[in-house]
Amino acid sequence: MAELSYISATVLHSIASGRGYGFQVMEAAGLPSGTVYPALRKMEKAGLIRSQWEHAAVARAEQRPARRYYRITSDGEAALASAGQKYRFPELAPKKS
Amino acid sequence: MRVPIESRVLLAVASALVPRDERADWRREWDAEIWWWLGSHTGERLRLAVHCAGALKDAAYLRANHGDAIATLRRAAGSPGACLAGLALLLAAVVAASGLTETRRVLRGDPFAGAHLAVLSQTLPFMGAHLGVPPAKVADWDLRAQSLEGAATYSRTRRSGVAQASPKFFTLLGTHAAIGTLSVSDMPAAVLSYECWQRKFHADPAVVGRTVDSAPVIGVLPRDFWFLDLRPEVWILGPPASDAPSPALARLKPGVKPADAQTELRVLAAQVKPVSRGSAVVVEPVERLSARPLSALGLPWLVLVCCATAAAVVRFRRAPGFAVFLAAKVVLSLTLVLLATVEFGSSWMTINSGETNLAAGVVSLWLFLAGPGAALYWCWRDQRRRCRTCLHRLEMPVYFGEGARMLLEHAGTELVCPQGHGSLFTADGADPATQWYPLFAGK
Ligand SMILES: [Zn+2]
Repeated sequence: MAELSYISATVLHSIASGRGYGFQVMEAAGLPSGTVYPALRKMEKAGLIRSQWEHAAVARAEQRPARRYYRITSDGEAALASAGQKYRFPELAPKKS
Repeated sequence: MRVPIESRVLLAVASALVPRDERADWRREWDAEIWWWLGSHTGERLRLAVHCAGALKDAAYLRANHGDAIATLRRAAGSPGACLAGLALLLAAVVAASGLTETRRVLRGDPFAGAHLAVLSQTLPFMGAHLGVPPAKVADWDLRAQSLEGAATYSRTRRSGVAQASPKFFTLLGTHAAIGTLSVSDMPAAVLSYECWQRKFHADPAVVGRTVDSAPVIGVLPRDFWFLDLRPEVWILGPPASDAPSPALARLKPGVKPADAQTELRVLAAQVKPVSRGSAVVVEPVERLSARPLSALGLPWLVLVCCATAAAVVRFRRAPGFAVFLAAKVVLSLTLVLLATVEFGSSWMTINSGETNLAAGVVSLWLFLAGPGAALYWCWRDQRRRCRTCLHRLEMPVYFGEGARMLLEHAGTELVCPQGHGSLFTADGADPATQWYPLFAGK
């Protein structure tokens, strides 16, 4: 398995801590969109995370657009565990919603 | 909530960059992100624009890592057009690298036409191999032969780019120097080729008198000078370095026929030691030798091209496109081999130098046989692995069966046309059966 970069590991750490979609990851990790999204794409391709669109009905009931949720896979957890021995992750900003 | 114009433009540009099959999802995700952003920030137009600029980076990443760029390239590489274009490119490279100097020389013909020049050698009667003549005999002919105005030895030396010749050599040829002189007063003397003078001495006219290969330079040959297939940078003029046989150049007296000179030289040769039994002196006009690349390479090329083209047409007469493609490949690849041989192989060949250099002979044999052979083999092999309908290279080889169980089951490789026209089965091992199965037979 390829080693994670610090940025990718931080993004993965945010997802593992319950930040489910891109905007939440950006806010929690304090990273810009141009960094977070390519990292998400790369990790999804590598099978470390999986994405799923929220049901349209849920979004409609809350009167907002549907979100694309990212979830960590078992491969991702293994990668995060080994990255955790190498890096110290930053404090994540508290969740807003 | 309204998205400001600059952010909308950024998103539109980024969206256009995203590969088409991912675009709808991508746009939906970013729209949702912007909606959230607008909900949690107010009046920060610049920060929103920076946020949307991130979409550009995201889109660029997706485009760069999208599979279809490579797939498109691979598909294009397998097309018949790419194959022919590749061959044409190789041809253009050979033409550009060589300037077709040798080809033009061969086509222009003998530079010494009408000068009654001949190459003297000895031939083994049963092999036809040209051997050199002992220098003592050449010296004797130069003195005594009534049919000759003079004779001079010439040969390649062990050092590449250096040839050795008798002092009379250029006088017999009737060549005049571009710089300095070609008539020798002190031996040894060095004469440079025009290319060598330009490249190594930067066309310095003061080169005369300088020492090259421990001999003083007396002159530079004219730009268009060439003699058979000897292309040395430096000619050293002086007495022969050893008694080893070498070919010789002779100028016949006006009106003397090569056959008459040959008769006289054979008589004289028997009077000078060493007398070689079984080999006979041969006098061959330089004109005929100069034209030999045309007959030795050009004719086989023409015959090969005609035969291979005819074979392609006959073999694939039901699929004209397939036959034309094969013929085009044959013509291009054989022309490539021919030009490369003529242009880059002249220093390794013994087609017309009148001497037999064993190492050079092996190389020229290789060039003669291996070059066209490899080209034809490649044409045929490439052709077999192409779709019978669209001429595209077949892909996705699937190996099945076990070679060891051939008696019980099939074992082989199956290839398919990427556009789904059919599949090709080739059996492994002893059975060379190859079969093409159209997928949509009758359509
Ligand atoms: Zn096809």
